[in-house]
Amino acid sequence: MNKNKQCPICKKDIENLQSQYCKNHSKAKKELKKGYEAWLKAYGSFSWDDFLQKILDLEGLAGDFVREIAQHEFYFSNE
Amino acid sequence: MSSIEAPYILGIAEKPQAARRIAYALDENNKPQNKRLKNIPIYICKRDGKKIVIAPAVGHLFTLSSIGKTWNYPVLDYEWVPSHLVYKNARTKNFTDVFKSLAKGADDVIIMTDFDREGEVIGYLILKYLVGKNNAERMKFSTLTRRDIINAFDQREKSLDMGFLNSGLIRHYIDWLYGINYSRALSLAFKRVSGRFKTISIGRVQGPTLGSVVEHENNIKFFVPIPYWTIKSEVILNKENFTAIYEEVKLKTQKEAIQVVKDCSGLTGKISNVSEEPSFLYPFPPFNLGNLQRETYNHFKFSPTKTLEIAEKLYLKALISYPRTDSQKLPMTLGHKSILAKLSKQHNYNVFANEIIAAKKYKPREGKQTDAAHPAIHPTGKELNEILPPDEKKLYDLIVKRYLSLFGKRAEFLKRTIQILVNKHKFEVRGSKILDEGWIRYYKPYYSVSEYILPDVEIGTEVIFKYIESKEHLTFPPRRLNESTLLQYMEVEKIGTKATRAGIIQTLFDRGYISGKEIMPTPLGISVVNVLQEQYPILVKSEMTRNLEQIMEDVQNENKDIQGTILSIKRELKDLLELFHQKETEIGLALYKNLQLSEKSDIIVLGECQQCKKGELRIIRSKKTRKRFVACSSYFDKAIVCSVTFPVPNTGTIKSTKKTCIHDGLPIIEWQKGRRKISMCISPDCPSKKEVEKNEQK
Repeated sequence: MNKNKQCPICKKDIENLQSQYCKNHSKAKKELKKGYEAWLKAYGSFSWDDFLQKILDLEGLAGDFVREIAQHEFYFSNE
Repeated sequence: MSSIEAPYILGIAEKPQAARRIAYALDENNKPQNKRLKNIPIYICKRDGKKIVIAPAVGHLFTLSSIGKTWNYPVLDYEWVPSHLVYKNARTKNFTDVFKSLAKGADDVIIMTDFDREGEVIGYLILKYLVGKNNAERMKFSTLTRRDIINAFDQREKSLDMGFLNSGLIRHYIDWLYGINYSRALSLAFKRVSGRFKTISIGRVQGPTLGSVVEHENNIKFFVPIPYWTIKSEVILNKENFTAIYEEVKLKTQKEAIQVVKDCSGLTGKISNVSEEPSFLYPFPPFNLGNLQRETYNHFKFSPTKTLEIAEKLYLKALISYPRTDSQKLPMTLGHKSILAKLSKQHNYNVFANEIIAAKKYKPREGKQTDAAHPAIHPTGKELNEILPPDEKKLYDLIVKRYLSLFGKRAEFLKRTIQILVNKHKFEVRGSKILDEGWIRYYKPYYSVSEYILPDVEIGTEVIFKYIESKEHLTFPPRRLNESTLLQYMEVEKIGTKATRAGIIQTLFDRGYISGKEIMPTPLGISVVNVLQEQYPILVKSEMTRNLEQIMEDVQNENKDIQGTILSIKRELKDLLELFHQKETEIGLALYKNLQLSEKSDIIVLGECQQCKKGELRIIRSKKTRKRFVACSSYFDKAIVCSVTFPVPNTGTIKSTKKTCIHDGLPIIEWQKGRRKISMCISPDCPSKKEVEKNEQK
């Protein structure tokens, strides 16, 4: 485990050297991507940013880890 | 101390109330002599020309304790010691002294404790360490009614039930070994890294239970809602409106939903089929402890612990049978005819009890689960001599009505489905008519059904759609566990036993690992599980405890020898602890980091400081004393140095309510510990607190 690199969201150690986030937020990102695929299929077309915005609006439905990663992706990610 | 003339038979009962009931039932004149030794009630009765002295315990009078005083691990040697020597609050000394004293004049002993593992262990330990014997006669009963007690006395066994005893003893040894060693190991690992002591307790059943709560919480935290669509429509049948359901309940794409609405809008449908089929609903099985705990949670919101406590009170009043049972069986030998006859004299139940008696159907419906020691929970029919407290009354009513429902006929319904075809799309209107309520009448208000009657229609009739539209939905995350669903999960996963599950959940609350009625793991609970899952997963997975349960069951069935089994468990535990020891620094470091982060995330901002008007009031924890208090963030600002502080409770969780107090304008916090939740002003001098104090004094 890389002791110097921390998850930008929760400051825990990152999962591994290839990862940008801790274990929980890495998993949340995977779930978020899977969710996006389902949304894309459901609506036919849906932008990643619109999807993130929607998830951020769904307080109480979307999980906390998922909303945290969505927020970080929405404001800080260059993807 | 004992002024009772010897010789006599000594009867060992589990609780004072049970001792009294047994004595009144056994005494030939129903008037046992009542004495007090060291303020403990003792009953002297006569039966078959013999003098029987019945003395009560108060649950366990002995507990396991380590041999040796070093606070380290592994600890593999233990001994039974009187509870009052270990726990300062245990009020068992007088009970212990009374048994020691009575043992001197006893020429025979009968164990009269509850017939289960714990009852066997309680009786055996008193017998061995206070009376100085290894075996005694045993009375076995499932209710504290006169009939059952006399039968149990007349047909008493010549010896203790060795299966129950060994299984009970090994359960104590295993739980003690795992609990003490892993709690010490975790606390020491944390201390060696952090330099400070913190009790981090874990047990063989606690770990997997906490693990499952955290896993469930993670499923909620990782949940991504997914959209789906339903088609909502209303049709007119014989001038009345009915909801019609589209053949595919959930549509996965918006395109499909729009297409269905487009295809059907403005068109008239045709009835393509009308079908009718009878359906039946049979009574629910008799109550075992788990079913009862779930049903009381659903209807009365009683916690499993509370349900067991109330059920035990009803048992001690001889109103119901022994509640710690897995059984869903009610054999005919229980005398249902006589129980029903007695219930027919209780005004709340006389109508239905008489109806069953008139039908002469005395065979109740049973479930599949069995228990070697006791039948399913059922009323004894004993007359209610006193007005029961409200909670006991509720539970008693539920148990009696469930029991009556078991003799009822099946409920019968006629289900009707009208199928409507419109432009190749199928819709259905579904209805149900009650033909016979059967047993449901006896079980009301705990179960009820409603009917939805459809009109008589003919195939080919045209149907007008009042409207048809699609509706977008989102999937919901899993619901948080409550005590009832957690208990059910433990049953399915075979974690713990019927007698221990409720207690384990309570322990998790008490230790601050979980909180709330909708159960959530606390930061401490999450940290402990996260570290263990990564470094030492066996403690939070259910496999280990399930295997141990199997071993204990084998001991009960006498397939395994207790000494050999305990030796092999000790060897295995020693190896596991060695593995823990090798990873101790890593585990300690991970615990330290996790707990630090969870404590950091504990910083709660309550609002602006009213004194300096610049900083914000925050709840922080002193690194030195570990005490929690409210302080102003401007304390560290050299230009201001605002030193305002307020004390707050050290334990439990605190949340900001974002509200201010009407008396002094200071923030109101919400404090929660276990199930207790209080909103309060942070000022100790707030008039609102004085009002509460005054009210409490009144």
